[in-house]
Amino acid sequence: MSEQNPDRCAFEFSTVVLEEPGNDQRAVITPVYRTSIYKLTDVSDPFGKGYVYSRYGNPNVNGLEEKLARLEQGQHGYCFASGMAAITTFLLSLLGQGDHIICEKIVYGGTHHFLTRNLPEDFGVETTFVDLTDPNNLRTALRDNTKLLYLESPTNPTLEIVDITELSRIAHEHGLYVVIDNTFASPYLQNPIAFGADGVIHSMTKYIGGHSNEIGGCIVLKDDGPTIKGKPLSQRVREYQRILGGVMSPDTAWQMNQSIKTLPLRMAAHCQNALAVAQFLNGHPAVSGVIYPGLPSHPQHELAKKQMPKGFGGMVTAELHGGRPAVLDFLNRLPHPFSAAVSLGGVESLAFPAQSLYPLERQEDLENRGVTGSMVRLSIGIEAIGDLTRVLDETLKPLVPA
Amino acid sequence: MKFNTRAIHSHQEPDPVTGAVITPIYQTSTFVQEDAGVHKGYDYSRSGNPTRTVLEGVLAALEGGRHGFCFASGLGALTTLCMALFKPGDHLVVGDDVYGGTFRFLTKVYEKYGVTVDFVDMTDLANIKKAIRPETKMIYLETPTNPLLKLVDIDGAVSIAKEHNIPTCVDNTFASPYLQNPFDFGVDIILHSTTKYIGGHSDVVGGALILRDDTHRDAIKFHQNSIGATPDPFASWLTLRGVKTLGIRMETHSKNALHLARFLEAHAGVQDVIYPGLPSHPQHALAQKQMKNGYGGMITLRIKGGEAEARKFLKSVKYFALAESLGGVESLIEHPALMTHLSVDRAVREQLGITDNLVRLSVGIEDVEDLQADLENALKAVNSKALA
Repeated sequence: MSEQNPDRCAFEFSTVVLEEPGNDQRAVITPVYRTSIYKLTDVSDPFGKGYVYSRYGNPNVNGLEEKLARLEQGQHGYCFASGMAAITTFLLSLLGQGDHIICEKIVYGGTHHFLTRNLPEDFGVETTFVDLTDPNNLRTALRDNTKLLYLESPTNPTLEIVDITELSRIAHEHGLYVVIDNTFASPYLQNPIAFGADGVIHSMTKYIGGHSNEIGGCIVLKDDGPTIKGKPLSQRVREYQRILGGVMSPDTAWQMNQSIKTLPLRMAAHCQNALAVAQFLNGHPAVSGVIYPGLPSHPQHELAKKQMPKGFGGMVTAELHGGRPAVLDFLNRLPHPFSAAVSLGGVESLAFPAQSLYPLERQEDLENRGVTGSMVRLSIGIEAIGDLTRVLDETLKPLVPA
Repeated sequence: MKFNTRAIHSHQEPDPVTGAVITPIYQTSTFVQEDAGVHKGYDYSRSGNPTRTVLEGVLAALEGGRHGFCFASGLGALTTLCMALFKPGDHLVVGDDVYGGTFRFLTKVYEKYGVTVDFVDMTDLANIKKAIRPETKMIYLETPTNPLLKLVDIDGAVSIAKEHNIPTCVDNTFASPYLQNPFDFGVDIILHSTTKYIGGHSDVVGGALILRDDTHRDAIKFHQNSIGATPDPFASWLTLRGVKTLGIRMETHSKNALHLARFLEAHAGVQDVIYPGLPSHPQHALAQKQMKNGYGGMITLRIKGGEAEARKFLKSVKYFALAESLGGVESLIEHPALMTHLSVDRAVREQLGITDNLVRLSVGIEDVEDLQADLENALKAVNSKALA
């Protein structure tokens, strides 16, 4: 897997998503193996190979893990009960007391909370948050004990794009492991391993699941990775997955495998609709700013074109002239087909105040990281585009400044 | 609301109690009653179930009808329709190459109950006219038909039915509501095997009847409950999940199928290709009129040779799974004479054109380059064997 070729992957993607790994039956669709235990044929080495206990392995979960690894061009895949289970299991597998992380200045609220509170307080691992849209900031934040570079691109909720290739190059010069939360892009739009990252994390609840009906997460590793306490990272992640126990259920794995089959179609529709919404909002008198990587006005638009060759995703962040009061008024009145709800990536459109995604953070800290009170985060679904722009226009009308 | 919005939102407002964006699976058989016979519209899940109600509503909305009724299978929908509307002595005019299961029910089961059926080639509307008798109670058609993808002029068939004051039912399974809305042409009842494009993921079996107006509502509702071929809540929920991507899936099915139909038509190993989107299809103009968003994902072809060559072809494809059914995201291939239409007598099959070299493709949403390469390799394998 050392020779990565994004184009080659793009060609096969829509075919690979439909495969039924882990299915040795005659049924076209893999059965749901809703079993906790497996009858052993040889008890002399019960944990050697094969299935023993579903926290250790399950045909639905393992099949899904293989598929995700292929889609992200990695060698190893691991599924979890949530995106946070994936993130925390990964961090605890890789890091130990005294280690240091460099992380993007703004990341998903749950990740931010774990990095700022739990890791330093409970495990003695510190994180420095820096603006990585300028890769040079990575060098200045480096310490002797830095082990990990943690990225998101596009970032949540500010939709900034970071240069995965350049950051990975610098990080590798200093022996850092590079992991990226690829949730906002999805494996269809962006394969970070092809650009130099070592590991990829997803909240599968979002675009991979895509129907707002399952919670799940995954890790994909490019290869066996560094050796930590005598074991390759790939083995440690498997061990921590089993010991920490945040595993995905067979039902969820089956459902996710079904949902992945339409990922390319859904992403194409999300991208098309989101671009149209971004263009529509861009000229709207109630809107003071629109952030969307597909707009030429986006500061990293050229980089986005390189890293996300098939489209710029379904997330649009808009700033309203009236600030936070306008945002709250807008969301309280925004009708179906939008719902005011957290999460993202489903077929139905959602909207939420950007600052409210971080209930534990101080408003001042959020403003410093670029998350303003006037921001509303939109997850654009795959509805008919005319229906979306119509209700946005109607809801924004009273907010146009006199 | 336009189609893709209706598919995701019609009857699917967030749950008023919890705010859940996704319709809950009401996996319950019974419902508590406030007082004997006093309840919130549900008393027993065969009679009605909230998850099923949402599905029935969204399917009606997608077809532009007033009422939807869901069933445990497409045949459950058909048998309920027949028992609700007909009685001994009645007569039906049915298309001559309807789905094998429909044909089997009408000839081997239903005729015992004294209802007679004439199967006619409906590509010529005069055949419908000729078959109508005083006791004819319905014109029942499929378009495109299975497996020969013949089209029936829905507008023309409905005009004949109206002259005789009888209802028309269209099995719209092959087109899906995204590509064709028979109510636009005055049809009274639409039947779907929701197992196919509507479910779309090959993981659930189901059927539906959609009614244009109130005429047959009470009869269908009564028989749905009395006969009991109703879907369980989880099947309804899975179908609802499938409906949400129906529009984008049909776009890709149609695009891929048109591409492959053109490829196959130009291939030396293929005798002929039947696809409504090809100008060579005898009813291509009618397809353009009736199927507004594309021509669907089904292709029928005859490969050069006979049964042996067809079998070799079936064995040589890699991405097309050898399986009955259709309309799922994954491509399937089947041999009608040996599989779906085996229940049709050989003489009838041959008369219809269901020959031993006839192969039916359900084109999925894979990358079309992969599918084309797969078919090309399989045709090569057939050819090399023929030469050897």
